[in-house]
Amino acid sequence: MMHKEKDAERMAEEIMQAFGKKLGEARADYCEALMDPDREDPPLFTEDERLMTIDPDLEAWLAGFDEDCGDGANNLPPAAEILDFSQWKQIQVDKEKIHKRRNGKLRRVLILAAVLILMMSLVLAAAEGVKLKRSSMYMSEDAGNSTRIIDMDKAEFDVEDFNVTYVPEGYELVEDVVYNTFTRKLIFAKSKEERFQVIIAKTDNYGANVDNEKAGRKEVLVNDKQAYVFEDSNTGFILWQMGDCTLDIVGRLSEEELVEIASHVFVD
Amino acid sequence: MTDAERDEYIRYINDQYDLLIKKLAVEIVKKEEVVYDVKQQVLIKLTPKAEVLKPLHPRQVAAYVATTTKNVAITEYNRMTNYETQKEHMVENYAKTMTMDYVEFEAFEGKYGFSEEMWKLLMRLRPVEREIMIYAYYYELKTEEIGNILGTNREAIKKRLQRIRKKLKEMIEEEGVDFR
Repeated sequence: MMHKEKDAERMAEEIMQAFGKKLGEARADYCEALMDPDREDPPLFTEDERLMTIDPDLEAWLAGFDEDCGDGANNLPPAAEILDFSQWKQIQVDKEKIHKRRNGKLRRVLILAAVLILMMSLVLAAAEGVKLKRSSMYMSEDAGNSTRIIDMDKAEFDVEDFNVTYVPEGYELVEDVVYNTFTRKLIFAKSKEERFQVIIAKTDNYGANVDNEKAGRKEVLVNDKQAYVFEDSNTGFILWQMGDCTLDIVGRLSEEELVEIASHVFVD
Repeated sequence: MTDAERDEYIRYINDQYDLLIKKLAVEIVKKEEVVYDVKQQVLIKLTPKAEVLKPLHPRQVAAYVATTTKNVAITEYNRMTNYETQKEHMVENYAKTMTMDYVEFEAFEGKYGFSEEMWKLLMRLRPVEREIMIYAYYYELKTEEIGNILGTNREAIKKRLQRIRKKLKEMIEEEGVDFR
């Protein structure tokens, strides 16, 4: 038995050697024929009836080929390499494996890309500059030199949150009164006559009397937000909003001074 | 092999096998205008193999050049043609054998207990297996050298050969060949 098995193996090896040599010779002969201008070129294909056994499933398989491949024209195997249906099937199996591998890689790449996009979105969303762009955010400076972003359309402040961080030279805070949780008054004075007051009030509770006939109204910007300045011969008055509060400054000040003080009112 | 030697050898291949490459390429791609491109690609592919090819017999080199040309030309053909054309070509040629890959059964008849089934099995080997058979038995290269040519390792080559041997052995045992 063992002897027979060894003989079979030796025989198989002999057959392979013989076939490999013949195949190489046949190929070399074919090449020589092509290179010899005196010989007729051999045909690209040989038709041997014994190798042309048609698989009965082939027709059905070909009919379904379009559906299988979808629009994958490039999935077709190299036509000239096809020796028979069974081999083509094998090539298809291999291609499917490669396709699956590629799909797997593609999926991983897509997931990675999605994660990266998400992370970048988070970073962007966290960036203050983007916040400023994204909505009507308001950038202002603190009493210190830091910059902060406030959504002025939605912010809710306590009147006590506000700080006046600039006053013209010589003025000092002489009074800071919170009347109730809705109104606060700050008075700054340089002398008995030279003084101004800042009123900070919840907008719902704010009221001011301005003589429109005597005082001319002018629209100005306080930290890029709309504000109004009213001036008559003696007094200046500026009015603007920050969040849910309305602020005004009134005193013997010029428009520039009013805007400058107003621009330096910040929230803690 | 130095770069200069390699360049010189590739120039030799270019001159010596020019007709072979062009004729085979035009047979496959069917367009003369792309033959030059195919030839360039063939020479590029052959350049790193120059060291392996140089010691071989010119007939063996011709066979190698033909294989490379065939592969490059088929790739180019598939790139150039659309799905419908490729399908048409496949349907027309699916059962045919390329002449360069064809060995007549009669060449073996009466030898080695060679049967038609065995011949069919060998004729239907996959292209890469066919190349391995040629490298191993016609070029008489070592498995490691074959691996270098095909860009794989010797174990992979050994396994392929073993697989073919095993199949043949099964056939021999099934057919109950009378061993001499």
